[in-house]
Amino acid sequence: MSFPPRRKFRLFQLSSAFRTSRYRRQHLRGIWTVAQREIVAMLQTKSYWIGCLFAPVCLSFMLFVFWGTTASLKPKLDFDEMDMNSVPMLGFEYQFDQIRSFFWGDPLHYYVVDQSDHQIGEAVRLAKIKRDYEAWYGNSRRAPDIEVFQESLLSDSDLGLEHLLQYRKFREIQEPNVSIETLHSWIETGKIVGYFVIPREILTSNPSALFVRPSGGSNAHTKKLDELEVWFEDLVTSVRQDKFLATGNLDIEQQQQLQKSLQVTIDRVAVRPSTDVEPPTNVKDYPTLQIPIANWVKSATIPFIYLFILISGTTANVMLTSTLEEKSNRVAEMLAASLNPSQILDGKLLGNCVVMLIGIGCGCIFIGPPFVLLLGSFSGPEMNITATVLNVSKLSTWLLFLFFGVAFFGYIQTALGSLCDDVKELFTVIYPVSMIQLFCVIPSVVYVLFTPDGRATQVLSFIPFLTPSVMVSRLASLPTWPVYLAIVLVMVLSIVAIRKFSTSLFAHGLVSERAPRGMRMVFRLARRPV
Amino acid sequence: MKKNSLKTVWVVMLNEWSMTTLNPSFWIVSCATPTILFAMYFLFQWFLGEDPREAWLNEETVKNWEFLLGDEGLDQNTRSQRVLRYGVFDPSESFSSEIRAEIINNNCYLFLKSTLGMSTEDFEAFSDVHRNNHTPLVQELAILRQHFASMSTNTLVDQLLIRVELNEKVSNVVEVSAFQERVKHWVKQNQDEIVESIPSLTSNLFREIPPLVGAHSKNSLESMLSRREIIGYFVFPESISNELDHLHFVTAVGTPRSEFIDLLNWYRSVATDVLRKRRYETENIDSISQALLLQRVDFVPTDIEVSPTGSRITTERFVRVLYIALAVLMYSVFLGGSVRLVSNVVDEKSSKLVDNLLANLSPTHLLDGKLWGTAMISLTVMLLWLVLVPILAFVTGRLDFNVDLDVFSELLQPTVVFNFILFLLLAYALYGYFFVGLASLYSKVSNAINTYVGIGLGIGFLFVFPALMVMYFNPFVWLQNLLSFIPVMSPFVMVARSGKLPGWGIYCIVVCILVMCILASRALSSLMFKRGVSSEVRVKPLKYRAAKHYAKPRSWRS
Repeated sequence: MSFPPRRKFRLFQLSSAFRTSRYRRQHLRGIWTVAQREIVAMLQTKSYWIGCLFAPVCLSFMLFVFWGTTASLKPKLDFDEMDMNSVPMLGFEYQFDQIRSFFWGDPLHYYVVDQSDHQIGEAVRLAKIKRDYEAWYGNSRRAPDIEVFQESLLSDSDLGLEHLLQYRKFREIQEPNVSIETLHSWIETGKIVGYFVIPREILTSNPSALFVRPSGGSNAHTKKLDELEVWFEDLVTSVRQDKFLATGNLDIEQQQQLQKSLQVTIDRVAVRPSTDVEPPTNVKDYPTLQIPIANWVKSATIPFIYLFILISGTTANVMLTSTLEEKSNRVAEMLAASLNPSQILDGKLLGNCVVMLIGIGCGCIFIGPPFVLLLGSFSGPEMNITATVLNVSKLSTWLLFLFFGVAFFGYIQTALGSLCDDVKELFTVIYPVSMIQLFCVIPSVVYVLFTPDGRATQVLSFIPFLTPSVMVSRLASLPTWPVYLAIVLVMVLSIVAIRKFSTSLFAHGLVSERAPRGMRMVFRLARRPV
Repeated sequence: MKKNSLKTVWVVMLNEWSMTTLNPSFWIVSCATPTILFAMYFLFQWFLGEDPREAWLNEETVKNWEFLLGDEGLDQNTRSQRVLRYGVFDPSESFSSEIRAEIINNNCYLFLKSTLGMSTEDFEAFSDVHRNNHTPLVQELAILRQHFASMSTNTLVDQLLIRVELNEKVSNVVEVSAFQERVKHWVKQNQDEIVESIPSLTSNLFREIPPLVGAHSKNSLESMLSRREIIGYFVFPESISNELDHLHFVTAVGTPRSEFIDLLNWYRSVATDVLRKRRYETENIDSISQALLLQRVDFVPTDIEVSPTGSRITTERFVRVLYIALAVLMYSVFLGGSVRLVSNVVDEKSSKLVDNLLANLSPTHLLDGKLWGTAMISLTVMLLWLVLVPILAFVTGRLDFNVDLDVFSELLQPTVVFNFILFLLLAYALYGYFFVGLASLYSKVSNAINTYVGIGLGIGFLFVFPALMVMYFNPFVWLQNLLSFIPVMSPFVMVARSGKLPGWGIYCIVVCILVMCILASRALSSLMFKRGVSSEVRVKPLKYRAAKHYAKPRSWRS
């Protein structure tokens, strides 16, 4: 039976299309078989379920406890709910004070040379005790007399350790008529950190007093001395004001009324650019202020980065170890005989991505509710915090670049793992990748976390091996859509290139007997025809 | 014979040491550890750190505006690097206009302080810029500088602005009230021109937009806020009395507090001054007293060249915790080093390399060589840290990080370093021999490491941490001595006691007891090692053995 040439050509086209589609189906079936094997192998391990169930349940419990604590404390606390710099301190100010007190170290001792005729030094001492007394007892009705408090301060040197009283930070050495030479020798021996000289004419003119202190010293010590100076200036200023007002027949209540200060309340409004209201012509041309990203928004990226590193690192590591195991017990050779190297690689990636998604799902189920509740308890009436932290664009970017990260490093690491027979060889071969991760990825993540909208960040986003981690680190300030698409395109192209490189390396690695020495050998091996 | 033995041990030690130290990753990890610890310390400091500007905003006593605009008030690292524009919504218009006048007065004060206090060259440069349009004022300033060169700038400016009793000499040279008016007018008119030559002016930091008139001004302000043309605006109540205690500042959602906190502190200070002046006037307090009441006492820091010999961190509690942290560090170094030791022993056994070694040297020599080789590696790490930590501390101390170098001076005392190294080696010997002996019974690295980790953590939880907890509470000396004599705790307790070591007698007894225990441990481990390393003995779980034992018929068991 013979067909006309046109019919023959048509039949050939149909059969080749059929063969191609069959080939594709077979190819995909091979990938799925490898993936299934990877999934089953992983799901059968205890450590996976401990990581997926036990750890999230523990974390969830902790978050519930934290949420319960903050929910009970919140009505008593006053904080700017649109600026979360103070959030970590909520309800734990006492504990933080203790730690700060611990790091402060010894109290700074100082001496006061009082040259004035009005006993300013003595008045300063009293004002200091009064401030500590108020800080210690507040408005308590059971507060003893100030003299009793003063005696307890003198008898118990540890009083105030738990409270950050000024007595804990700064203490005066009270000895009469000490010469300047002696004071200098005291500074030299560390008995005092410096001394103040209160001038004679302090009440009659614009005073210019002295604070004599040693030059040099560490930054931390200089900061402490600066704090002492500001604190003492405050005390002397308030004592001076009191002395002035006391001269003009005013009682203490009147004096306090006169000196009462203004307080500022911050109101936040959600404003959107509107065309309804035109500003007056004289204020129309002001340039726009560049408002930086709030620190708490940047800090909110830290959990995302942590999870990204944890999940992508674990997944790539699982791919690597399973390859190493297959290579060392010769299963790899059997696989290579029946499947394409690309099928094995893709199957491994697919299987481990499914395993990773199951883990993420477990985490979302257990950690999600307490996390949302906790954020909700910090959020204001407009749910600003929840909306900022759990933004759809942020979550989708995180997931997308997590896949990209796993694919990029998973392909490379699996291919390098296929070159080795044991863990020792693996350390030598994978060394350059580890170095890149240690010295390029981690520093860029830290940099981008603090400057998510900087120019360097924009450049770093386009470097393929940094792109996934950099994009996750800059969740606080994602690029505009055209730039975002360009980054995704660059990433996809680089993954395709890496896949090609890894497939070639993997094909040679599965059947090789000895790991190549040095990266040059690795590249040479990848260039060889399969 | 003994010399030969020592030589053999030395060769094994050197081999063990060089095998690890020739690997670049060893150096990278060893250098990375203190760097990461420093980074974590800074993160902790940042987390604990308080912004003093927040405290100033909340405190009852308001800081003076001049202080807030000075170097101490404006943190150069955190303050915004541009002029912040703000608006004011004041239906009565009276209070806000008083504040505006006060700001101009303050600017005049800053202007005079700056021009009268500047060096001759700077003043000439200033005169050259402003001579053409503002000759009379510049000439007056030059005359004042010439006449009162010996008088301090602060005193002269106070005289000119009548903030103190006026001196006749000054009034003879210049007609003060007219001069004040001229300066005020000039500063108001030329604000934009002088901001560059006088950087201390408030216009360089904060500027109010021209006041908006009419009922829609609030909407206009919000509109400007939405377009980010202003950072926010202050709202005053319709009628302001002397009892006013609150001021509202309206800003957009999402604007960080750090951006406007300087503005709030400064504006609050100026507004409080205006309010206080109103109150003083009702109490008939004269203007000079008012000025004196509003001044802040300025303590001028005078540095003297002395080199303090005493350490500044001497809090007993701080030092105690520091040395306990040192003991924990020793425990983790010892734990990490022992993992290396165990894995090496089992690895060599499984790869049959040990058979070759045993053909040439005795098991005891091999045991000693391996142990002290690993101890040498840990000592190398410690020495590297000893060099790296001061460098890191010095570098970061020069930067703006809050690291107190005195912490390291406490740790780097010769006695502390010697005590640490001695007891690290003794801890290695005491536990290390036992670990090597036990590890030699295993054939698989993973099994050996699992067992080792269990034992290592068990030692930590049973002996090390309880002993250190007791040490934290600074118990009686006899209890400290008692803990020092218990060999399993002794190395860690002695390191935790680095601040106040016992006398030489007790110290030597502690070391002697430890050395005796080490010899006993060595003898026992040597037996285990001899048997384990050269045979294929597999340690099986006890349950399995027991089950096997009972599975046999009774007659077989006998």
